[in-house]
Amino acid sequence: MQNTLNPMMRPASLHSDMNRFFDEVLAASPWTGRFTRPISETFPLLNAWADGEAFYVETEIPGYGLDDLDITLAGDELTIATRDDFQPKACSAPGEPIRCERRRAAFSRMVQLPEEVDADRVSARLVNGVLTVTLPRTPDHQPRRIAVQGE
Amino acid sequence: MTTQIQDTTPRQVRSGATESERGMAKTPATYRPAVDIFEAENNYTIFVDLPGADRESINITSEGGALVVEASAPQRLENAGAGQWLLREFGVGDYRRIFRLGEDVDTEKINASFSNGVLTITLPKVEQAMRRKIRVQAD
Repeated sequence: MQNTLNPMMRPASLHSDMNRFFDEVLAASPWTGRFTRPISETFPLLNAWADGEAFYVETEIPGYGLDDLDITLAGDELTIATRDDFQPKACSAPGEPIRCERRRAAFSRMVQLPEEVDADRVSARLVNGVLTVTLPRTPDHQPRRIAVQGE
Repeated sequence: MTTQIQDTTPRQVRSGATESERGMAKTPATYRPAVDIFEAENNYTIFVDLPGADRESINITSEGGALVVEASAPQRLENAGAGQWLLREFGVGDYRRIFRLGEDVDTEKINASFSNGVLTITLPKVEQAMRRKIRVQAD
């Protein structure tokens, strides 16, 4: 699933409303064409923001470890995925399962950044189940103050 | 199998992934974290997804047969200063989920640990319930 990071993106509430709309349409219709699954099944969800220094892409993946992940940057496309050899853990623990709601599947999400970044300085950290990828902007793209000279 | 632990979280506490008010309001929204529950012979185990929560914010209370799990995750972009949203699929805020406990849970011996954004709560069963079960099996 691919997203283009667009600063003019519609607000989150509308985004959710549309997801709900698609969920309902898909649940009601036996048709399985291009949209083969409800959009809200998208996992994991992503947030992204930018400041003058970098782009930041963040996702909540509690229970996944750094060893499970494969984070790649190709040009302006960032992919956050589980490794090819990732084995989804079954919903199991000592005893009988009563409820299994937590996500544990393999996944892959791709986002297209608004501009190319400094690939050598991209970093990622995983703290309390939140993965944050920091993609520093290149000097070419950083906002520059232009001095206005008077006479 | 009789389920002794039931989810009694009020309906208005919604799933974290689909909340629409997230981040838009000044007060952080409250999300209903995903859980796994298991019953073994001597205990129950509950796993609660609390991504981004501060360990210190996690509050587990057992009162009147209910187990309440609460936590909060600090706002991340807001703390980072003047950023601009590019993509916003989920919100960050408080977590709350309530479970109704069966009488077989020994509430004095509940313990929990937090790792990788997942809270693990172990609820041992009372000795009496275990003994009763053994007696039934003997009949």
